[in-house]
Amino acid sequence: MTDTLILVGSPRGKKSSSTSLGNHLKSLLQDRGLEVEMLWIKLQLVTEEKTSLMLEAISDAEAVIMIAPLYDDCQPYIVTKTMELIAAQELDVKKRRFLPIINCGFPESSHITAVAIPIYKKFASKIGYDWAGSLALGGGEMLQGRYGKQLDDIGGLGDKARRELEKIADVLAGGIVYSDEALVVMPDIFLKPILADLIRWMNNRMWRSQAEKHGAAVDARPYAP
Amino acid sequence: MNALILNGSLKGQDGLQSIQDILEEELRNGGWLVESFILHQMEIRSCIGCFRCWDTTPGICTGVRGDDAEEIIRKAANADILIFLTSLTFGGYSSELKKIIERFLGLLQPAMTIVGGEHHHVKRYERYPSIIAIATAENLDEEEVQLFKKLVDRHSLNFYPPKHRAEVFQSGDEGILERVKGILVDMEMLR
Repeated sequence: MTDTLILVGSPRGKKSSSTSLGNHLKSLLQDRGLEVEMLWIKLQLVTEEKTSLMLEAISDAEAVIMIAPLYDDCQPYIVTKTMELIAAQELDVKKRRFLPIINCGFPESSHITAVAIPIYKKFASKIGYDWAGSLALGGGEMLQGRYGKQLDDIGGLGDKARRELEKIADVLAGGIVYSDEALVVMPDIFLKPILADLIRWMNNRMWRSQAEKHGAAVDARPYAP
Repeated sequence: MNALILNGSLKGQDGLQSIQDILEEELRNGGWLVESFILHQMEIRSCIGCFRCWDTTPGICTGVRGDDAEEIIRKAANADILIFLTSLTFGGYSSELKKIIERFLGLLQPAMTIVGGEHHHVKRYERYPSIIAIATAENLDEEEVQLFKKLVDRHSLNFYPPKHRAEVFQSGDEGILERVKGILVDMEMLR
């Protein structure tokens, strides 16, 4: 039996903030003597054989850490699909531990805690998992995972996430329960009103420039009647 | 007036078909043009989070090409009412429904604004369809019912429907016809 299975639920696959968080946590857990397996759901759902292997790995894991982004206020399709498969196959995971780590692009972690975390909690209780706590990370774009950056590559921007992953590694290694935590990835100073407004303005301008580089208008209305 | 029904039943489960039939009949009798898609019967691939619908071809998903999603996205953008049918999945949407919802990302702009004290994406279009979301469950779990309603409320904050409504029915409930009619009347879809 594997001590911990990290399931990465990002539709982006390996180049994602979820991967960056997963790689870092895997290393912390291994430092504490735990055996850790890490799978990317996107890469497992491509064939029935790989899907079966993922479900076997889930069956064999003492603890499952689901690391995923927030998509439309809830789970990405590939995560929901996996949850449905676990339920349909009636995997015996009773008394094993389940802990989701969810990030979203919006700075407020309330987007995650409003519905997505309760859905994970409901899933866990219906399947028979012991809830081991959860982490909601607002401002996940700051992790720059989609550019292939790892948590150790981003300096101070990753401080809060790194500290929280240390705590999670400690509680998992110690066999105790983490709490339900929510935080914003970026340093607190970035959340002060004027700076926050400036960051939002720069972010919006960045998207406009990106579209213009492709000869397009960011506010195009291709399907307008 | 156009209604678009997206039936998110899973393959092998046709429990939502009767609700789809009722909606189609009631809306057509009320003068609506109705189009329905049973999503698992279509070729729809999942969003890969590439953001090409924001930064490369704004408003059009070109990261995942050649499937049936673009037709549905275009119709959703121009519908007056969008109706989601789903099995209640731990209080959320089914995977089949979620798959197409994710492909709607380009209906919004990437820019953010503050709504109700929170960041949300900016509208791409002047108007969006109203949303009715109907879920069914074998056994009603009140926590899941409340979660589903909250999900649709939250989702609506990010999708700007003029009106939205979420309901959960117990599978096989004999009063579904009357309840569906009631929803349509409450939403002023029928007189």
